[in-house]
Amino acid sequence: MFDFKPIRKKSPWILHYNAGSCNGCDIEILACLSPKYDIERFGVINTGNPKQSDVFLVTGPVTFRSRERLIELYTQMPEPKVVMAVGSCTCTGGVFRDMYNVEDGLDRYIPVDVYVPGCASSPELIIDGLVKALEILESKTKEIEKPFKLFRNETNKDGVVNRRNSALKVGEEIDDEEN
Amino acid sequence: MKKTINIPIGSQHIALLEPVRFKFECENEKIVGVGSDVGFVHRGIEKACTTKFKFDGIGYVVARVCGLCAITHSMTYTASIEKLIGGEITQKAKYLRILLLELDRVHSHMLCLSHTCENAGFEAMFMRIMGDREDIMEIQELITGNRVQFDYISIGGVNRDIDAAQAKNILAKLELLKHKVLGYIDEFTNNWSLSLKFKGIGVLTLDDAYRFNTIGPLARASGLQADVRNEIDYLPYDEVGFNMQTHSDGDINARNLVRLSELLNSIEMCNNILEGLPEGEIFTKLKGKPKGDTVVRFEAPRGELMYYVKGNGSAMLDRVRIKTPTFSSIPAFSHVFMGADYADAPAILASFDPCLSCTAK
Amino acid sequence: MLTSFFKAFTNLFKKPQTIDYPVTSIEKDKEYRGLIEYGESECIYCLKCEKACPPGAILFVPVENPPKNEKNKKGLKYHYNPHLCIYCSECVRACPKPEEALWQSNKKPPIGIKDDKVNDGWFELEKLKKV
Repeated sequence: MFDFKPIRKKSPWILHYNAGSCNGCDIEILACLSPKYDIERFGVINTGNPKQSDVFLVTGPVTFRSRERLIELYTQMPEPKVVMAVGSCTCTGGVFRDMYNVEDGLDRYIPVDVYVPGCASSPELIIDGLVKALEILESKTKEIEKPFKLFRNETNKDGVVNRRNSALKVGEEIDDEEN
Repeated sequence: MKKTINIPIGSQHIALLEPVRFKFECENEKIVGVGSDVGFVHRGIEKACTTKFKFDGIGYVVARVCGLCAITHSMTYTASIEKLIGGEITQKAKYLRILLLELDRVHSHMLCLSHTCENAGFEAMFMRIMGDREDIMEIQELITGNRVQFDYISIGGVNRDIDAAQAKNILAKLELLKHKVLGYIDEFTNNWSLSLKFKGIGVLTLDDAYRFNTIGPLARASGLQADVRNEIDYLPYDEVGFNMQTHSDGDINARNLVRLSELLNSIEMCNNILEGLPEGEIFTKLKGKPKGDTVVRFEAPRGELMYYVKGNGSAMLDRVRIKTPTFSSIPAFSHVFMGADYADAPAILASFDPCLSCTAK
Repeated sequence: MLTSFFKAFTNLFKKPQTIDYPVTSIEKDKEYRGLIEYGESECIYCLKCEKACPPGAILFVPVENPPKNEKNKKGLKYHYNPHLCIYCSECVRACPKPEEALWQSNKKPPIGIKDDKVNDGWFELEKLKKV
């Protein structure tokens, strides 16, 4: 069978969303795709489609008007996926902490994996963050495709096989010591 | 059965750099109605300027309203506080402020030109202009220490100085850039397939520009003579060689040509400043608190920017009001879209150069 | 059309415009605005840097084992968050001893992962400060 595990990190496609930023970090992401700091040599393409992408790049402190679209995009992306917060405003709120229309940081809403600091973050820091995100993507791929048990083993007493209590309840896991 | 259908271009799209939402009513591919929605980026800066920050720290907060015209916001706020406190700054500080403002205008116009070409389908030109724009970012990093968001202007002068060896280095780089810009002008006027996408599309006539109060390169491409740098006197623009550039057609091609000739004029102004820089100090300490109210206007890369500041003698201000250039151009947007093809909508939108984070502060 | 062939041929022998970043490192200028660094033995605990910072990235919080310094009367310790800082260097301009106690280097700030608790840890420090 064709094995996807070692080649999934060789061509990650990114999705970029502006959740209320000042456009400084967006220009630096656009400069990463320009000929000087070329990230297309890692196999990265900037698509606008959430159903075809692996890495989610968010900029800006999350404002009240843009919360709904952010959660819709996050739930439409298929597993395994990595979320990256670019800029000081996205990590902790930045200069806009405690203003009335702003949530303080992205991890109040969706779980974040990599935090990239800076105001505005330079393209070298974004490339460093992307390399770390690819390592996390590889470890998530290995965890998803590990095999796990669904039923307990049946008991055998005097030649009579009993499968009555072999189903698991919701949220229960099997201890491997029990055989 | 209705005759029209509604097509949205929403707040997340691959052809938009900014979150804005338009709803078009189309009848067989021609647009007959437009509904617009701005306000996805509102963060509440004007209220926080009067309750949370003191008057000498607001210059760093206001620069983060927009990342492309950051230094123009900071410059306008500092000029209004210096008018209220009173006091003189040295001639060398004024020339260094003009140098940074014109370098900011160059990199913003190059970004807009490359984005217009990408939406018309010519991706090779997008990569070529973005590759040449990196020279300007290196010059900005040498002078101020950061590529975008240079915190360079404070009340009483500027923060860092330029010595003679750095000035020679910068002049050599600007000379190389001038040859490349002359190559772009040649390409934009003589390429046949680009002219099919740009000539005669998205026309704004002179009467309409006067009626809708348009500002910036949008008005100058229709023939209206509107530029704030002719009318102010806090910075010596007439000594460094400033000329106003206009064109008379009003379509997308005319706007591109106006931006390219403004680029050449800005590079010439930077050359004049670096060759004739006077000696002196760069910072003078001003004492006092602001009292009274004032109005100050400046020319950002997209049009006219206006600030109204009111103080009452203590460290916290009473009111700060910001009027940004894209906010005045929204009625003209909705008028130009009527009667155009639906497939031309991204190219027209990119040639207007909207900056939505300035609009909804 | 002949000019485009000629140009494509000469482009074969020129140097490429790309810098392949993680393999070859890029040298930063000496005046680049990087991380803020702190010298603990020279500080006089005047708290001017905490008042001058716009986003509030420097906090002096009372703890149980404070650093031993005769000027430290209230038992305070210095905390700094590189993910909240905007690198404007207002704190260095407000400090009375700018080269010995607080200065700006040209190093790059570190990248955080999920276990570092960048945002939640800072909210707990702010609560300690208010009490």
